[in-house]
Order: sequence, then C-alpha cells, then structure tokens
Amino acid sequence: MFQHQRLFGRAISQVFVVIALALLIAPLAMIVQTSFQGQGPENYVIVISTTPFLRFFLNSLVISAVTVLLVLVCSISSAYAIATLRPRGSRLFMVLILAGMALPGIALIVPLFYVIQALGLLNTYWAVIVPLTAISIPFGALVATNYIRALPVELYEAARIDGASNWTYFVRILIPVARPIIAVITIFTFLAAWNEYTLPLIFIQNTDLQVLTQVPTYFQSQRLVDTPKIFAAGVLISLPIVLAYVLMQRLFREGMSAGAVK
Amino acid sequence: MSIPGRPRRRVALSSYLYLVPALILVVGVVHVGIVANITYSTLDWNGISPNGKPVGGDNYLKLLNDPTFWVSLRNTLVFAAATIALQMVFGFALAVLVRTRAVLRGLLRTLAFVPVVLAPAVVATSFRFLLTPDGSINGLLSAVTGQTIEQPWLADPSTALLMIVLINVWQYTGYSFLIYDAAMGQIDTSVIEATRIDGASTGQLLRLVVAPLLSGSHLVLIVLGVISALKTFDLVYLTTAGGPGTTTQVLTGYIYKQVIDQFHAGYGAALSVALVAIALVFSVLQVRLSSREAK
Repeated sequence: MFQHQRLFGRAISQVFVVIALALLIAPLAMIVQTSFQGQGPENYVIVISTTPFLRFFLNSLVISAVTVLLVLVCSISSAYAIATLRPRGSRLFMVLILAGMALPGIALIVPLFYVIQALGLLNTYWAVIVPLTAISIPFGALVATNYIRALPVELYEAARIDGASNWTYFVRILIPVARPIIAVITIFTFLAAWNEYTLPLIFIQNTDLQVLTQVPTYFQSQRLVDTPKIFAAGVLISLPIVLAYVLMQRLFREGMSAGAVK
Repeated sequence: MSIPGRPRRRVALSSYLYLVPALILVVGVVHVGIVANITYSTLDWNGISPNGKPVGGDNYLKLLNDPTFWVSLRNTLVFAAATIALQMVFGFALAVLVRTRAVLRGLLRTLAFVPVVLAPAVVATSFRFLLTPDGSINGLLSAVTGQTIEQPWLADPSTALLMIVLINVWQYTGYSFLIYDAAMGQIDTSVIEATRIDGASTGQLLRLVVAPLLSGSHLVLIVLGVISALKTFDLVYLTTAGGPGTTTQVLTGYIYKQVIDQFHAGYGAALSVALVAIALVFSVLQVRLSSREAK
C-alpha cells in the first residue's frame, strides 16, 4: 500500500522500523540476559529443581484445559440455541449471558470468596476453573453466535428435512462446520487461563496446587530476592506460549481479533 | 389430533437445554454474584463470619467521602485514556510500517505480537526489576547518555503511573497493530492509487483517507481499551501494588486491598458495585459493536 516510496520516504520508514524493533526487543533481551546472571544456565536448572515447577506446570495445564473444554461446550451449545433454534425468549437469554462481557473478575471476589469457602472449594482447581469459565463464556458465546448466524439457513433446513434431529445436526454437522470458531475460542480462552494470576492468587494457598504465574513470586517470598532466578522462571513460563504463537501465528491473530473484527 | 402438536412442543422445550450449561455458570457466578455484592454492600462485614451487621447505605456514603476511591477511579481513567491513545497511535504506525518496503518488516509483524501473548504477571514482575535504580533500563540509559542514571522509576510518585502506562503500551501495542493491520488489509487499493495520482503526500493520505476509513477499528479499540483498563490488576499489583502511597492505585487493586488484605468485605462489595456499574456500560457497547461488525 505504501510501497511507491521515494528514497527519502523509504529511509524514514526504515529508521522507524529499526526503532520499533529495538523497543520491542530491548526488554525481552534484558530479561533473557538477566536470567543468565550469577550462576549462568544453572539458574534454569535451579528454578526447575528447587521449585515445584513441573507440578505448577501440570496445574496450569489442567486448569487451562478444563476451562477451555467447559467454555467450548457452553458457548457453542448456547450459540446454537440463540442463532439457529431460537426458542421463545432466546434474546433475553443472550442478553443475560453477554452481560458479563466486560466484567472484571475482581468485582466478584466478595461473593466468590464467601461461596467458595462455604462450599469447601478453597484450595481446589474448581475455585479457579468455575469463575474463570463463567467470565470467559460471554466472549465465546458472542463470537460463536456471530459465526453460526453467518452460516446459510439452508444448512439447518436441509438437514432437518433429511430427518436429522436437532441433536444430530448439532453433533454431526454444526460442530464440524464450526471448527474455525472453535479454534478461535480455544486459543483465546487458553491464553487467558494460562496467563491468569488473580484467581489462583486469591483462592489457592496450597503450594501443591499453585500455577505457573506464581513461580516468580516464589523467589521473592524468601528472605533474599533472587532476580536472575525470577527472570529465568519468567522465560520458562513464557516459552511454551511464545513457541505456540510462532508456530500458529495465523490462528493466534484470528483468535485475538475475533471479538473486534469479523 | 394431539399427536401433531406434541413433537413440536418437545422440540421447542429441548431447545432450551442447549442454553442450560452456559446459563447455570454465567447466572450462577456473574448475576448471583452481582446481586450478592449489592446485598453485602449494605453490611459491615469481614467476609468470613456467617453474618455481618446491617448498616444500610453507610458503605456508599463512605465511598463518596473516601479520597482513595476517587484517586483509584481517577488513576483507572487516566490509565485507560493514556494507554488507549498511545496504543492506537503506535499500533496504527506499525500497521503502516509493515506496508512499506522497509527491510525487516516481516520480523516486525511477528515480533509486535509476542508481548501480547505473555502473562501480564510475568511482564509486570520483569519490569519491576528492570526499572529499579540499579536495573537494566537505567544501565542502558546510562550507557547511551554517558551519565549515571539511577532513577527509581516505579518508586518515584512523579513517574510511577507513567511507567505502568508505558509497560502496558509495550505489551499491548501489538494488539492495536493487529486490529489496524486486519482493517488496512481490506481497504480497496484503488482508493489509495487514486489519492496518489491526485498528488497527495503520504501524510495527507494517512490523515485524510486511511485514518477515516478505519473509524470502525478506532471505535473497537477504544471500547476494548476501556474494558481491559477496568480489568487491569496484575500489572499494578506486581509493579507498585498501588504505591508509592496511593499514587498508582486502581479500582481493582483497591477492591483487592479492602477485601483480601483488610477484610472489609462490605465496603469492598460497595466498591465492586461501582466497578460493575461502569463495566456494564462497556459490555453493552462491545456487544453492539461486535454484532454490528458481524452484521
């Protein structure tokens, strides 16, 4: 679009590209560099061997996977009802579901804390999974509804005329057809769950159940703040998600922009 | 003759079943939570004992006279305005830059989005240490300027909020870039060609043609920006925890402090009701926008 540039314009844009790259890379480079200070690569070994790092990794994985699964089931099925089946009152139900869209999770900590404690769910995966799922559903339901609405009406009508029940259509036709939007919701929800900090901070005090985002705090709670270890932990936590992004760039871009542009 | 009517009704009823899982979770957590917040906000309560003391509207009166509430609200709004403006300007600039013939533009497109996928908790913790008086950022600035710079960026009340804004801008400009990049890709190139032939400069082209064509993206970024600013917690909690004093406190952080640190659950519930009211307005806006975009 801006490719017919004169030499001067091209030089200016080149300078800006270099500055932008430097500003993006500098903090990342500093983080990696600091993570090797002191004991060098040993820092990484120490992070993995002296903290329950693998345990935290597993906890993050379980919480994220269950959350993604629940969000998918809830958003695709409710979107199907709202966009295709349209029973009486489905508009009202949609409004009810979407009302939570912009809600900061922290605004619910008073009731959550009380209920989770009363039900004996403090220090369980569920204390994180249930609220995380509930606040992730509105976005999933919104993009899934938009997607299903855009499908041709004939798809559903033809299947029904051929004798398929609503359930058969849902399982055999809609879910396979909705694969792109399922991928989008999966990425968006997984990223949010994997990076979640607040809910585990509040509802999980048991070290065995902590998640990855708590690892850097682990090296600050001791008397001595060990900066290189904190940075090594940060790099280790970020690697899987950065790797996933680099390998699936297109999917990530679609996933992250789905709520905004269609 | 009742047979033809029956299957139809059964089909209609079963349609509601698809809504049940989502409704149970969302109504059970969000709606019940909001109603419970309103109830709790009329109590003097520590959040743990089974019953608190009813105090009517006292918590709301306290809120109106609480300077920290107003500072937190002001900081949240300043944070929202500053991050949205900077992220839009830089995101727009990046979307233009990847469309020039500059070398390394492909790398820029990939790298711009890397900070977006990182955990805010990790980014915040990292910058907290990079920005200390003897941290790497002062080290770099000292090397570049040839002077010894030992500015305590996050501990100095005059720079702390600015730093939190800039950390957020560093992390999320890639998101604004992504939205603008997608929208610019859909602009009809013949419009650009025509403007070029008419002799417009690049500046005029961007300001008078491209920017107005992206009005939908501007709006989306403003609404999403306010929503994410209202939700911001990790970044502030893990860099300054609202300090020094209350100079960087935001609404989410203040609620956390009142409820979790000080056991003022009743008052925390009143603060939550205020935050929910603000968030609700932007929920409506986002749903409107997103449904309109999808047609």
